[in-house]
This record gives sequence, structure tokens and C-alpha cells, in this order.
Amino acid sequence: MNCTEFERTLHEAVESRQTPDSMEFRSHVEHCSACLALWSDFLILDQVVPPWKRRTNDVDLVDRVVAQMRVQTSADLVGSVGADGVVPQPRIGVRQRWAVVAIAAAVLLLLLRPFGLGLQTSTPNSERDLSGVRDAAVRTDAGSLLVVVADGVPKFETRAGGQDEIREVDAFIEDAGSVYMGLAREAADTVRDVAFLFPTFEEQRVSVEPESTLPNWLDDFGENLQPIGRDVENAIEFLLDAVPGDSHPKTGQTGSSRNSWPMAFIHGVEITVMPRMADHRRVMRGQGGARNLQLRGTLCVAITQPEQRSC
Amino acid sequence: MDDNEVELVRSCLSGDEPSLREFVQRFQGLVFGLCVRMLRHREDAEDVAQEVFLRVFRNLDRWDQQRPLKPWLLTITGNRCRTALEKRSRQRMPPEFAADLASDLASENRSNDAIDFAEELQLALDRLRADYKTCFILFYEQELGCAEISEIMGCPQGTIKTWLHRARHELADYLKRRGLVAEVNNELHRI
Repeated sequence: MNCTEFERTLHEAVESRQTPDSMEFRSHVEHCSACLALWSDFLILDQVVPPWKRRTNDVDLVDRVVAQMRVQTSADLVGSVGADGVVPQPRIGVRQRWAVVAIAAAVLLLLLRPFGLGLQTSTPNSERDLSGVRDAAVRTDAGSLLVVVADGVPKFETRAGGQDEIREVDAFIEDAGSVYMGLAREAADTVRDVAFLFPTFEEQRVSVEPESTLPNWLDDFGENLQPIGRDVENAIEFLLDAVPGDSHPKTGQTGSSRNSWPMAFIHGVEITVMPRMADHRRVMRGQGGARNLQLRGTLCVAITQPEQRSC
Repeated sequence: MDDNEVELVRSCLSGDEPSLREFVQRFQGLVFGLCVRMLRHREDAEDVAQEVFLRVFRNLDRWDQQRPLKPWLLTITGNRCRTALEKRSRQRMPPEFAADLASDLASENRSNDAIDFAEELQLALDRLRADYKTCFILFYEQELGCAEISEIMGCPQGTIKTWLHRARHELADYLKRRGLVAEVNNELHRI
């Protein structure tokens, strides 16, 4: 017997709750220290398991369990005993339950027949001639089951709440317009925050007045960052186009002649985003020496140096 | 198949209270024994055992009468014990509970050497991983075969055998470290 066979024999003895007793088994144990260790493990447990098994677990759960069953009033509890000792009937099985449900559904459908239940069809113009059809189950395109219980052609019925629905749709459109307004305003704020209102080079660009001592830094920025400016411009155009035409965002500006979008001071330079050329021209007339940079499209940006601005 | 068990179950399903009492009386040792081995706390074991019986009665109609009842009972018991252990591990053990648990562990009569072996083995069992421990308890205390244990624990029979042998090996190692080898040394000289 080799070690593999010894270990297999030992395992089989454990699983069958027996003690190996063959001569070759004993002979191998005497000559193999590794297998002797396995054998000692076997003997250790052989000694300690019986007293561990004999330890009794005295307990009386009968009264507790029965009392708890009385407390529970669920119909699913089998054999629950009432306070008066009357035992309710055992619950039905799962199959019987489904059979009851199916029978109840069939009875309900039959009971609905006298009431002439004509359900609205899925398509308003589906005036099919169903004369002579009684109690027919019609499967719609959507797969739902409609039961036609009345004779004649089914009519499309306008639901009583139609006007309410129209009002709801109008309110939804108004809400959507408000959402657009909010989005456009947020976009303008974002553009302002990053200070990347860069112009494209157009013939209309007006350079600063000769007597100005401020450096021509805007031209340098614009020259290097034209692609970003075009992307921003396109995004703002899209948002502004989506805004309803009669929307006038309030900017909180004190100037009565100004009806413009939010403005900001960036590096000491006032930047105003205006939606229309008319406003742009008004600003130009009121603020001499302003640097006017026109973006492609409907958006105009007036960048005014504070010391040149007329209050 | 035990006809007595089948008849008892049918009586319970009809709602006969004496049958219900007899059912609990017959299997409470089996159920509570596994609970107390797994949970190591008597009160918890009583609560879980009670819950096991309620669940058993709630689902007694689902028991396949062609199969033995004991493995089915122990399956439910093992699941409830596992749930209780997981719940206990998620909760912080209050100090008074820890004291109770320690008291339960030390409440054995130490004047009897045989009981000492039992306590040592139980302490060693507590150190095993849960599936090894369950397998060992079902095999030795409930005296179930590997095939029945595999059905209860939902594992292949080969896995159960592997767990059983590993559990034995770890228990023996622990007991040797505890110095119990000298107590059984005389047995090594039997052969």
C-alpha cells in the first residue's frame, strides 16, 4: 500500500463511519510518518466526537410554536388553530389557486357582457364592420387584448377630458419655452465666465482709436483662438434661435436704452452680449470709442473699456 | 420512506393540533441541536428554531412525500441559521450579548473530562468556516450521509466530502495545538 492508497482508504473509512483495520494499512502506518500523522488526526476526532455528540440539547418548543401559530392570522399558515379551537380549512395549492383565478376572470368577463362594454380602439379611424360578431376577442396591433362585446361598428369616442388635455399640452409648450430660455441664459453665463468671446476676423472690425494707450490685446487673443470662438458662436446661435421671438431676458441694467443680455467686466473691460444689431448700434452711439467686434450671425458683442464708457 | 412521518404530516396539514404538537416534539431536538451548534447562543437558537417550525408548517404542503423529511427540515434550519449569523455579523454586538455568549460558551460542567473534550471540539468548530462547520455538524451530530448533506447544502457530493475531510484536518490541528494530543496518545499505540 502506498500513501495515496492509504489516504483513500482512510477517507472512505471516515465517510462510511468505520475504522480501517487491514494488515497492510497498519503496516504502512508503522513505516510512513506522513500517513502516521493522518492516522493520529483520525484517532483524535474519534475520541472527542462521541462526548460532543452526547451533549444533550434539552428544549421544549411545543407551546411556543403553537402559541405563535395562534397569533399569526395569516391564511397561509397551515393548521393555525383559532382561539376557540376551531381549525380552519387548509389552504389550497398553487395549481388550484391559479385555476380559481382563471375561473374568476372568465366569470367576470361573462358578467360584463350585459353592460355593453365597448372599449375604445387603438386607432380612431378603424371603423371595422363587426356586425354579427359577438363576444369576440380581438387582438390589437400592440398585442393587447380587447374584448368586443357589442354588436355593430365600434365608434371612436372622444374622451371627456379632451379640452383639459389641450390645456396641458399648451402648458407643456410654455414650459418648454421656459426651459429654452433658461438654457440660453445659462449658455450666455458660461460664455461670459470663461471669457472666451473671441471674434472672427471680419472687414467690419474697427480698431481702437489712435490716442488710446491700451495695448491691442484683443486682436492677439482673437488671432490665436479663432476655432474656439467659432464653436462658441455656433452654440450660442443655436440656443438663441431656439428662444421664442418675444422673449426678452431681463438683465437688470440701469440704462433705459439698453435691452441686452447679461454683461460682465473682464479684466476691467465691459463685455455686453446683445441679440440684435439695433441694440448694438444704440450702444455704439452712446459709448464713443467702444471697440465693436461683431460675431458672425445675429450675436453682437460690445467690448467697452470702462474709462471710455459714458454713465 | 417513513410512513409514520407521512401520516403525521398529513395530520398536520389537516390542522390537527395534537399532530402539530407531536411534530414539534419529534423534531425539536434535531432542529434545535443544529441551531445551537451553529449560533452558539441558546436564546438565539430557540428563536431560530421556533421560526423554523413556523416556516415548516407554512410550507408543509410543498414537501415531497416521496423524499425523506429530515433533510428537508435541516435545509430550512440551515438556511435560517445562516440568515441569523449574517444578521448578527452585520449588527454590532452589544456588550451584554457578548457577555451572554461568553457565558454560554463557558457554561459547561468542567469536572467531567468528557465534557471538556466536547467543549474543546465546539470551540474548534467555532473557528471553522461556516460551510465546513455545517457539513461537520450534519455528518456527525445529525448522522446524515454525504448524499443527504449535499442535497441539504446544495453542493455536489464530492464537495461535501472535501469539506468534511478539510474540517476534520483543521479540527485535529487545533486540538493538537491545544495540547489534547497527549490525551489520545495511548490510542496511537493500539496498532
